Amino acid sequence: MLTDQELVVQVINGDQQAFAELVERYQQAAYNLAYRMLGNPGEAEDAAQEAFLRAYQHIKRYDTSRPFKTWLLSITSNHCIDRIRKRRLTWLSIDEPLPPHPALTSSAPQPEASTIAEERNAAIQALLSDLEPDYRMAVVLRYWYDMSYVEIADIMETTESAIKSRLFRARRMLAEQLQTGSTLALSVAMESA
Amino acid sequence: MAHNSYEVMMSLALDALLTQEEEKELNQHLQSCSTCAQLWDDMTIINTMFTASAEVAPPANFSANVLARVESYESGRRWYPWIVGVLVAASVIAASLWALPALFLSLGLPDLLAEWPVIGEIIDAATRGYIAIQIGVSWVVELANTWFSYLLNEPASLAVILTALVLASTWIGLLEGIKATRNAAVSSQTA
Repeated sequence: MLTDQELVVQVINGDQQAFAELVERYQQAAYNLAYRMLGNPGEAEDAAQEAFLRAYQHIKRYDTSRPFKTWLLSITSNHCIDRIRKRRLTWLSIDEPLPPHPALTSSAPQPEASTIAEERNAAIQALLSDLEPDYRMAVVLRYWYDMSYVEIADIMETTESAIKSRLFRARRMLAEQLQTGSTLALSVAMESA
Repeated sequence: MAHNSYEVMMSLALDALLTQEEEKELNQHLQSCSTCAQLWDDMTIINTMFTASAEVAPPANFSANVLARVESYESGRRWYPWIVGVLVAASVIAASLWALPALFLSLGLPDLLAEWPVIGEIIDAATRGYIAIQIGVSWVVELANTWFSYLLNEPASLAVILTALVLASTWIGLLEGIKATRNAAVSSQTA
């Protein structure tokens, strides 16, 4: 199997099939990041597709000493933060109920398990949506991608100590949200913990 | 140690970034401080909840849609030089068509070629058309010029026209304002 770097070289030489292979490898990583950041399946799909397209357009700028996944997630991260900022200029609706993710509602074998997963997911998204985009991104990369502080700092183009601070503040805010008990999170969190 | 430092330590503890001594110190503090103990419980709940949450999968057609966008971008890139080429060629042809008759007339070629029956007729028609366009353009320019010079030479007329424009726009603005106020009143009554 070819490495990511070998595939990138082929893409630069005009092989679109090599890019298709990279999309297959990292579509879930990019899509999940966009979904956790934006909280909406449709917008997440569009944002993740846009991130792949940008990666394709700027493939020559990719530094092969970095992992391709890190570079792609960095593009996705910047694009999602831009979208959130633009969205705030037009409308702000953190009180709107978040739509459940189709992947958690469609193909689960047991209805009860599906409902629990759906509720937990909605609770997580509700908690995340209250965080500032920079804090949200740090939390998502830490929990869903199991990244170290250094790796998160690399993606977010900041320092390790900034990430340490963002994670601490984000966790304190999330904990305070549990204390206020205003979201669905509390009950679901108690069940799932 | 300050209260805030223990809060930072809690976050680091969740990422397994504390030394054994620091962990011990944090545990001792949590046993004596109920506020921090509560925060630690909540942070742990969040930690468990988020850690247990799986990545969500993209829709089945995601990959195909990305490749369609890539293909669309590539085809745009393929056509771009052609589009630019056609536009440049069209501009050159248009400029030539506009300039050639003038060159033609200035060289006196119509007189030379007029002796050829068919070509002579074509040249006659083209020349007449070109002269007609020139007359039309100069007539429009002259008319505009006359109007402008009249208005500039007659400040009183210019003032009258400007005043009329200001009055008309004020009147329209007033009417629109009244209409908007009425609409707002009606909608607030119905609400």
